[in-house]
Amino acid sequence: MLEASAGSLPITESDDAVVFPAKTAASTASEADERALVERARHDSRAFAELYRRYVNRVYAFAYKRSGSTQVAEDVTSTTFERALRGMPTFEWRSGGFAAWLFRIAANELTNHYRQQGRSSSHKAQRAFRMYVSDAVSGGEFDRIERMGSTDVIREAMTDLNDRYQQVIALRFLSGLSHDDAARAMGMSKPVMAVTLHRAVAALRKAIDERGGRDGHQV
Amino acid sequence: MVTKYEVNRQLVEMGEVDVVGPPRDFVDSLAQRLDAIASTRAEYAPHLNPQRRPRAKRMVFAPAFAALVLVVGAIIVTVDNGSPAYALDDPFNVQVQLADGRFVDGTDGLKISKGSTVVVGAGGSVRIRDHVYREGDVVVIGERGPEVADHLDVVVSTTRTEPTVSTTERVATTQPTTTQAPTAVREPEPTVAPRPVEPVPTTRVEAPATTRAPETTRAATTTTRPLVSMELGAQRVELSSQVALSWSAVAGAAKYVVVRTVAVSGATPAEPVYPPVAPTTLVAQKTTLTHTDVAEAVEGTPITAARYRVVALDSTGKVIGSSRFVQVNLPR
Repeated sequence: MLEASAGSLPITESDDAVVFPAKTAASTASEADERALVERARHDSRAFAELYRRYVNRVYAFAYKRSGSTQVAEDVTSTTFERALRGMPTFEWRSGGFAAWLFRIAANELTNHYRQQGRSSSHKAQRAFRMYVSDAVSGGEFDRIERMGSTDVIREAMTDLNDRYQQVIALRFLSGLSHDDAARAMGMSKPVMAVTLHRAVAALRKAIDERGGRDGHQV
Repeated sequence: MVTKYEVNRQLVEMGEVDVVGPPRDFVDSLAQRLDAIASTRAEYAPHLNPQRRPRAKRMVFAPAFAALVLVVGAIIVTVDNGSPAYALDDPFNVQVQLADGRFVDGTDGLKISKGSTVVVGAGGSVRIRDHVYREGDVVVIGERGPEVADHLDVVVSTTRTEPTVSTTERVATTQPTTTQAPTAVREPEPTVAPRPVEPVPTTRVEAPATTRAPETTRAATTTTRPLVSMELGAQRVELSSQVALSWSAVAGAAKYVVVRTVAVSGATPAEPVYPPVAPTTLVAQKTTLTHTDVAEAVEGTPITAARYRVVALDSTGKVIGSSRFVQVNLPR
């Protein structure tokens, strides 16, 4: 059995789960060590188990931040590692290494999820969005509403973007990858990544505004 | 109007928020599933990962090794056809009855041996070695390798494309959060796994006794007969821990066996299998088409999800029908 302990991640335990800060989730293993581990994982399930232990929390956190749903996060995490396991024999080490490849799989799974789900927003998210837009101008309420619903607004608006923009934003802001590694995960150079990210954020801002317009609110 | 700066700031905040990690049950369950997948893949067999000799020695031994491989290979091909020599490649909507009678879903890389039967369901396909089998094909791994023993007209159910069964209750549960952690809200939806095989072998179900083939032919037919794909419905009884199950009948069934797996703390249950092997447990053996199960708790911890499967057995105990698993979420 693949052992499922939390590995070397700096985690603290809660009742039935672990809590870990986003910024400290980076693997401490050197690239050389990880590369050797990945090579072994092509043929050795124990080595893949070690990779699983290193990354399961990070992938889960990434999926959760994007979706805001534990159910989706679990589904995406499961599918990501299953695809990674099946893809190990053909995996080629490139710049960014295993992490970039793994998070790209996860990003693809997330966009697939939202594509399948369609653009019909959940009631909860639409309610949050309406609260955010309508109350944003009401002075003291702004911060409270922002804390309550702004992430849902962004999550929903991201579904209006094309897959590429969704993935760029998710990988850059939500995966914990550096700008360089996010670019490598996307298979882009840093300048192209920067330009794409700039356009993606602009498109996201526009999507948020359009959603506000569709609901008849003025911000 | 939202400014780009504001969007950037909120994205950064989304990325920096602390997240309640995955439940340990989920992590363990996924590890087990990955382990099961790994065990079906040839590249993870330990003997396929030998320590390499230095290059010079490899060159010396290469011809001798190649000759040995040829000789052993020839012996295997001409003498032994019983070893697991076939693997499913890129299967979709495929169900397999293994030589030992167990039913499993056709997964990529699944090894199958002589005596196994592969049924390709609606819209499905699978490659075995260099041949691709399509919807309705019933492939038997025989002495001479895979052969299409039968071709079924696939009946497409109108309910088959609906993966989600609505229930009368939807309760959101909130996971424990830290001060910075986002509220984790789960919206339970009992789900039905997509049914891979819908075809019902009309020859077996409808053939009257007077038209049965001679004994030798019947024996051959038995080995090629695909299992009947059963409908299974499962619904939580209001907000209790009871789950009402009902299933479709299978002609010739002497009894029906219900098996299940359960999970606690929001984890995903494993796929239930028959014969029941841990963590799958036998729930009931029935001659009727309904059963009410009680999914209360495991060692004091309330069950939050359960997956059920029902199989039909004939009078000899042979599995003649099987459903896909159905998951019921039981938020407390």
